[in-house]
Amino acid sequence: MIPSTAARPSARGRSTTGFVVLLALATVLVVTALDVIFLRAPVERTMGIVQKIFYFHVPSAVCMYVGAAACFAGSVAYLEEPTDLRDSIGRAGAELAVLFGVIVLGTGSLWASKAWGTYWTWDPRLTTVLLSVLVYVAYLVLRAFAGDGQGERKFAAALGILGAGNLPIIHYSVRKWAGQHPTVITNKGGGLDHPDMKLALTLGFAAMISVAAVFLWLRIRGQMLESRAAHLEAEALDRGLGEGVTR
Amino acid sequence: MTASAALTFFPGPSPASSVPPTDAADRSTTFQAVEGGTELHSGQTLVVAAYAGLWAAMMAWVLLQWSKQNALARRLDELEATLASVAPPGPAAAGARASAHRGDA
Repeated sequence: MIPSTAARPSARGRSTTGFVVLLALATVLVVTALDVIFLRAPVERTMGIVQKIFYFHVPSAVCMYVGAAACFAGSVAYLEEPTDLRDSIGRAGAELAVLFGVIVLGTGSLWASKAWGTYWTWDPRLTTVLLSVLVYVAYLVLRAFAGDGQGERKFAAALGILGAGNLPIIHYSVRKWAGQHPTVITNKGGGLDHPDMKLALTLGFAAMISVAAVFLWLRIRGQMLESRAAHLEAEALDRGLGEGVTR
Repeated sequence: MTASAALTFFPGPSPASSVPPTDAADRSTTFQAVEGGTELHSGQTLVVAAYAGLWAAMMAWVLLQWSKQNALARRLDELEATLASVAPPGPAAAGARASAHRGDA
């Protein structure tokens, strides 16, 4: 059944305004964060300038969690009641988790090459992050090549829920098992020595999370448009117009 | 362009001598590295400007994607309206769907 389109233009105008505001906010935050990170925050005594990777690395890890949480929430909601929006949230969340997971692994490897003398080691946290990224890559491969039926969507939703089970393991791996990965932001010791370091990290979080929100919104909307196109295709087939509109 | 014309456009540091040497080997210069040079700060500013420009360009690309999605949504609205105005679902539906699944459209 074709839904009414009468209210769409005004709703689209409102969402466009909201998106542009969020995009402008993200741009300002990113530029400000770059300024504070590179020009204001002091260089770390032992590691030197490479420590500034920290201000991108940790917020990217949090954004990976945000994507994974969106995938989890969308997947649970989809299994409860299948809708295109819930499926789109799950899929966009998985994309976000892979994107920021790759950024975390990439920036971490560059930092490790300086701090540890190697790009990669099978440290518990590194290994669990890699495992998590591979789970979400599997989710996306499934969605790309296994069709878009309700069965495939439900199977992917189950994978999205299972993938979230690794997130607490990533978080606690660095404390429970021996490894090289440091802990900086904890309740017991560590931390940032200088106020400008704290400001840089706060801005890094704000910038990266706003960018993640922009990407998530854009991808959810893209998935929704793809679903609408698929429904229209099916509707056209129902009306005997298949030859002109099928892919 | 001749060698003398190139030197006119890209002159090197002037030697102390009042008589400019004619042989290129006499004008050879060694660039020497120095820690904490006088232009270090401006170099940092340029690096930040480069990254900021890169991010701003990426955000502009995101905005472009959004506007493309808007255009696509409008086209889908028109398509929905067109489909709603044609004949309701009929017996041709099953045949057309089967044809599309076979890929022989």
